[in-house]
Amino acid sequence: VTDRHDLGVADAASAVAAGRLSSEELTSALIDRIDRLDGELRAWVSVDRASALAEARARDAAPAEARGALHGVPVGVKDIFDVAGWPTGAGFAPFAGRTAAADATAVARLRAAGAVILGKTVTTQFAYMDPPPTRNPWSPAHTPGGSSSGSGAAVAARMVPGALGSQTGGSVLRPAAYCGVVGLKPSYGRVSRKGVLPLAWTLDHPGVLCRSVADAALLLGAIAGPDPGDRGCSARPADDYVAAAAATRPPRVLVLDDFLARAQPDARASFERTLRTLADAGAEVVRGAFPSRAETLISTHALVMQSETASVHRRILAEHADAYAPRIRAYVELGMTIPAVDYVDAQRLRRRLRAEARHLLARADCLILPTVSGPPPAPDTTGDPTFQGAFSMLGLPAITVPSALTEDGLPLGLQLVGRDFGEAALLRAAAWCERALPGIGAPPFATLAA
Amino acid sequence: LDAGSTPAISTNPVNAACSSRSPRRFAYIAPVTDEEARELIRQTLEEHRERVAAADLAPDDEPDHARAEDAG
Repeated sequence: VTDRHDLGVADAASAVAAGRLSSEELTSALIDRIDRLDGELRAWVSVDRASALAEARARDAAPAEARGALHGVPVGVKDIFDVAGWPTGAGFAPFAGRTAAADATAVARLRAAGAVILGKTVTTQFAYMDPPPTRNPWSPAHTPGGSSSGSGAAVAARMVPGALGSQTGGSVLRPAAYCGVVGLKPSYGRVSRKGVLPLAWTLDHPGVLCRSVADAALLLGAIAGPDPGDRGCSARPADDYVAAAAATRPPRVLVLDDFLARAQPDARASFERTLRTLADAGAEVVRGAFPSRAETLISTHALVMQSETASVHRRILAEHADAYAPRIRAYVELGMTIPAVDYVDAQRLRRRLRAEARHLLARADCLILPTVSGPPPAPDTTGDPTFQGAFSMLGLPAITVPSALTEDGLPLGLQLVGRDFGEAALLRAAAWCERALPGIGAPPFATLAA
Repeated sequence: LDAGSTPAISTNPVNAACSSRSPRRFAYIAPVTDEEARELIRQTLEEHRERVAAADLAPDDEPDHARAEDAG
């Protein structure tokens, strides 16, 4: 018998739909677990027991014809997304009393699909890289990553089956990989940013963290699609991601050797072992690299992000400088010194690099590389964002699936990158890889605390 | 967490190994103090600026306008 807290998004939705479990029972079980464990893990900013249980009871009372794909399933929301009636704190003390008047579009769509909003998960301050209080469920001596730190840790620790995150550099895929869960960053414009605090407008991507590719497909299906409230949101309709994730054809994958060369030796060796497993199971593996090389992608992303972040923050910083964490403060202050010509040149390079990515993706179903350059480091950093940020800069959909544990029992992830708006094909390839890999199980924290 | 209180490099064997082998290769080795964090951000910004400035851009290399569908 699966414990309630072990149910993933799809399994929880099925159990509620079949009447084997009420949303109230599931929500109550998860809140009890959070109450018991979060003093140590510190993944949550707030959990509104009364509101969540009331929402769950309303779901249980809803007629069958009014039920959506996520009916009765509790989810967490990173604390840069607006939830009506709750503060959007962003890890920034002066924002503690700023109550949101309306749900962010992604939150509203989760509710429309029947989800129960359980609470707000910890973000690093303003979704940048100052370390969070959150611990990694695999080892408290290591970072959970960031900036969607609480979402990654809470999902890994079986406090919630799925959560919203956001990625400007590597803030969905990195915490997902460090916490040993699945993280999906869709294409730029696939999910609305309305009601999400910006960090860098042309790089900000809402995404999801959960424990399987099928769950990522279900969550994406709920939140994707046009939104006239976000001028960067695409008018293209969403695809059937759940059907895509059920397919079984082995993919053709292109290994990015320029990124792989930058990985730490143990992570590189682990990746090559994972690749052999996939090839033995039937995947076709080809190799390539960006003609401009990984370093150019990393620098292009870095200049665009720091310039835009400085512009987002210069006025807030002028008013509340002392409330800023040290790294984002330095990042903004130094970002204000970047000449305009550097930003424009980076945007010119960005266009070229997107063309290079299209040529690489013409040779395979998806690009493949380690999600992170190494295992999670100590908790006074959120880790290296370079392997994820390049694909935020390109705006391409990217997903991480857990691939292996290090000898120290720390998780590593496998990153797949798809074509623009090719989430269905990306999920198909990721689901196949997930089935071909042995899996890494639950973190010791989740097991010991059961 | 106080970023100035935890000696990350010496307590993390993975990062320690990397820093002794190639300290600039892994750009986000944890700084020990806030001032070191600021210095790391300054140094990496300069590296990124130099790399972008050195790129071989032609006059018809126009800026990306940040709409994903433009690339389609």
